[in-house]
Amino acid sequence: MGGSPLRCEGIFKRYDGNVVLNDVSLSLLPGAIFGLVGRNGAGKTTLIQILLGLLQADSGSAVVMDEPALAMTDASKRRLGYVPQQPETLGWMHVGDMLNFVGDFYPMWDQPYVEDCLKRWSIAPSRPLSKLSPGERQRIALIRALAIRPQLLVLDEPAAALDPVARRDLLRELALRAGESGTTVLFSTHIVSDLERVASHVACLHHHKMVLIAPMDDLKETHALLQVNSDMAEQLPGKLPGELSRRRRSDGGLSIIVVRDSGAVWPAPAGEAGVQFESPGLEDLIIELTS
Amino acid sequence: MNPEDLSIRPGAAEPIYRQIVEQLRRLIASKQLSSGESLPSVRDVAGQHAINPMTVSRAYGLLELEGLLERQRGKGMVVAASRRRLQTDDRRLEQLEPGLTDIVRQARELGLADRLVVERLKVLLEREK
Amino acid sequence: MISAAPRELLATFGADHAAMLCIFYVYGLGSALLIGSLEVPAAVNLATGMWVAGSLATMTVAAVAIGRFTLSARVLRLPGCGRVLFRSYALLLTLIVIIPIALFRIFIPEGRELIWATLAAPLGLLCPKLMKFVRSLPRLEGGIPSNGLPTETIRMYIGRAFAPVSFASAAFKLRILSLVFWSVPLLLTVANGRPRAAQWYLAITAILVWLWFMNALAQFIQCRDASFAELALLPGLGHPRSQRWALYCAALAPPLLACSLLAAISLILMSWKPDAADQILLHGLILLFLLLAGAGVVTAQLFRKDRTRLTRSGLLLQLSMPIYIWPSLLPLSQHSPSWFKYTILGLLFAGMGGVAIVAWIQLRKLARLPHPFLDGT
Repeated sequence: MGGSPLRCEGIFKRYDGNVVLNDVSLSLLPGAIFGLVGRNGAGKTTLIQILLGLLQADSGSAVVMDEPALAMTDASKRRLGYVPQQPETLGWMHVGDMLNFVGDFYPMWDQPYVEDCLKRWSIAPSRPLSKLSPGERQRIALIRALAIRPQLLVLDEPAAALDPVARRDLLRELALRAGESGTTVLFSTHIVSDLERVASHVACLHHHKMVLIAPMDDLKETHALLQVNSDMAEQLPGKLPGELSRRRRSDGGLSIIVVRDSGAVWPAPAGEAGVQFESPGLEDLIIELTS
Repeated sequence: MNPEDLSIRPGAAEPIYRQIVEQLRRLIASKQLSSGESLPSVRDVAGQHAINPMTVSRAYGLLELEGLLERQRGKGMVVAASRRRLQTDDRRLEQLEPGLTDIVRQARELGLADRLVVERLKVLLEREK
Repeated sequence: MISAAPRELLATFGADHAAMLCIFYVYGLGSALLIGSLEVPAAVNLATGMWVAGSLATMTVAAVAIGRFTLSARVLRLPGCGRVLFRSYALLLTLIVIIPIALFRIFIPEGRELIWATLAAPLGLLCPKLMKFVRSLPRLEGGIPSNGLPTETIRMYIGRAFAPVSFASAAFKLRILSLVFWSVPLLLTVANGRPRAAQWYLAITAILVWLWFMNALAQFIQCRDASFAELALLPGLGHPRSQRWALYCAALAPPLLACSLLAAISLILMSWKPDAADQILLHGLILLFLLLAGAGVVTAQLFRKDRTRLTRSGLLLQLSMPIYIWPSLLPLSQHSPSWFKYTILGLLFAGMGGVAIVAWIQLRKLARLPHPFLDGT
C-alpha cells in the first residue's frame, strides 16, 4: 500500500467567528503510531473529526485511504476503527448484543479476540451498556475498534476516563495489537508520558497551528532547549536557524527550542558561554512549545 | 532474562530505544547475560512495559548490527558468542562519540581550557584501570 | 421571601425546562379558557380535559426537575434548601391548581365541573418514584434483528421506541400482549354502541404514542454527536443520498405510521360525513399559522441557520406541536365537532409532523450537505 492512509492539507475551521484550526496539515506514514498533543481546547477533537469526515472544514482537504473524507466508500469504512472521546451510542443495548450487532457490519470481525478481551477485563456480556462505568465503556469502544482488524485506527483522548492501571492496559493493547499488524494509529492525548511509550511520531497543536511534527526517537536527538541569559539575549539575532519557539523568562533571559537535522551541528549560540544547553524530555519540550 | 529486568523511563532525556540498547550493553559487558542466553521476544518486552514493539525491534536490531546479539532459529534473539563481539577500534570509538561531544560542549559552556580537560580525562582513565 | 420564589423556581427547573413550561402554561390555560367560554358543551369538556392532562404533565416534569435539584443540593449540602423547595412547590401548586380553578369559575359560566379534576395534578409529583420502580423491574431482552437494512440500522441507533425487535424475543411477545390488552376497551366501547368514547380512546392513544416516539427522537437528536459519528463511519449504509433517505424514513416512518393507523381505525369504525372543502382549507391555513407563530423557540429554530443549541425540551416542544395546537381548531368550527372532524384531525395530526420536519430540513439546507451525519449542523 503506497501513500498516506490519513492526511489533510491547509485545514481552516471557524466556530462562531473564532478560529479553531488555522492552516493545519498532517500526513500519517503507514504503520506509524502518531500521537497528537495539545492543550485542552487546542482543537485536537476538531481536527480528528475533520480528518474522518465527521465535520466539514471551511477550507482545505482531508483524505482517508486515498478517498475524500466526506465521501468515503464502504470499503474504506470497513478498515477504519474510531474510538470517540465519549462513546455513548446504543446505550440501551447489552454489551454482548452490541458487539454482535456491530460485528455483522465488518467482514474481518475477530469474535475470539472480543471474547478474550471481555474475559480479561471482567466485563460480563449480559450487562447493559448504560450501567457501565465510563472507563469500562471506553474499553468496550476500544474492543469494538480493534476487533475490526483496522488498517487505520483513530482514537480521541482514549485514556481520559481511565485510571493509571487501565491506561497502561490500553497502551499495551494498542501497542501490541496495532503495532504488530501494521495498523496506522492516530491518537490524541494531553498526557505526554503515554505518548513516549507508544508513539512513533508526535504532532503538537498549539494556538490553532501545528507547531511540531517529528519522529519520536529522533526527537530528543534533534531538538534542544537553549537557556540564554539576559546579556547574551540582547546580542542574539532576530530568529535563529532552526528555531521553533522562544520564550522570555522572568529574569530577562530567553528559552529557545531549536531543531537540527540529525548529524548536523546545533545552531550558533549553542556551545558559547552564557548559553546553557539542555536536552529536554518530551514533556518539557511540549510545555515549552505550548506555553 | 525476564522482560522486567529492563527498566524503561519515558520522561528521561534519552529515547526509549537508546535506554534499552544501553541497558543491554551493560548487562552483556558485565557478564550478567552470558553467551547463548536468549532474550525475551519483542512482543514480551513491549507487552510488559506497554511500549511500541517497533522501539524494541529497533534496539534489538542495532545491537545485532553491532554484533552483540544474533538471531537463532527457534530461539529468537540470543547473546552472541564472545569472539563475534570484537570490533575495530574505530567502531568502538564511534560509540563513545556522543558522550565525548557532550563533554566538549559542557567544557565550552564552562569556559574551560582544552588542556585542563584532557588532563582530567587522563586522571580518570588511570583511576578506572 | 415571596419575591424570591420565582427565581428559585427557575433555578430548580433549569432555564430550558422553565421556558417550555412557561409556554405550555400560558398557551394551554389561554386556549382552554377561550374554548371553554364558547359555551359548547363538548368543547368545554375537551378543554378542561386537556388542561387537567397538561397540569398532570407539568407536575411530573416539575417533580423530575426538583428531584434532580434536591439530589445535587444534598450532595453539595446547600443550606436553606428545604425552604427553597417549599416555596417552589407552593408557587407551582398556586399556578397549576389554584389559579386555573379560579379562572375557570370566573370565565366559564356552565359545564366546568370537570376542572375540579385538576386537584389530581399533585399526583404528578409521585410519578418519578413510580418510574424508578418500573425501571427497577427486570429488563426484557430486545433481541437483535439482522436483516441489515440501513433504515433498521438507524432505528437501532435511535433506540427506545424506534428500535426494531426480533420476532423471537420476549420484548416482541410483550408488545403483542400490550396490544391485546389495549384493544379490549376499544372493542367493548364499540360493541356497546358508544363510538364517541371509542374515538376519544383512539385520540388519546394517538397522543401518547406520538409523545413516546418524539421523546426518543428528541433524545437522539440532542445526543446526536456520538450516534452520528458512528453512523457516518459504519459501512453498509450506502452513499449519501440513500443515507439521507434512510435517516428520514427511520425517524419519520414509525410515528407517522402508528398515528395514521390509529386514525384509519377511527375512520373505519365511524361513518363518513364529508364536510365543505373550503372549511377544511381554512382550517389548514389557520393551522399552519398557529404552527409557525406558536412558540418563539420553534420559529427561532426554523429560521436561524447558524448552529443553534438544541435543548431536549425545545425539541420536544417542537415535535409535540401537533398535539399542542389541536384544541385550537375547535373554536373555528361553526358546527359542533363531528366524527369526521376527529378522524380528519387524526390524519392531519400525523401529517403535520412530517410537514414541519420537511420544512425544517429544507430551510436549514440539510439536504445539501455532503452526507447527513455531519456534526455541528
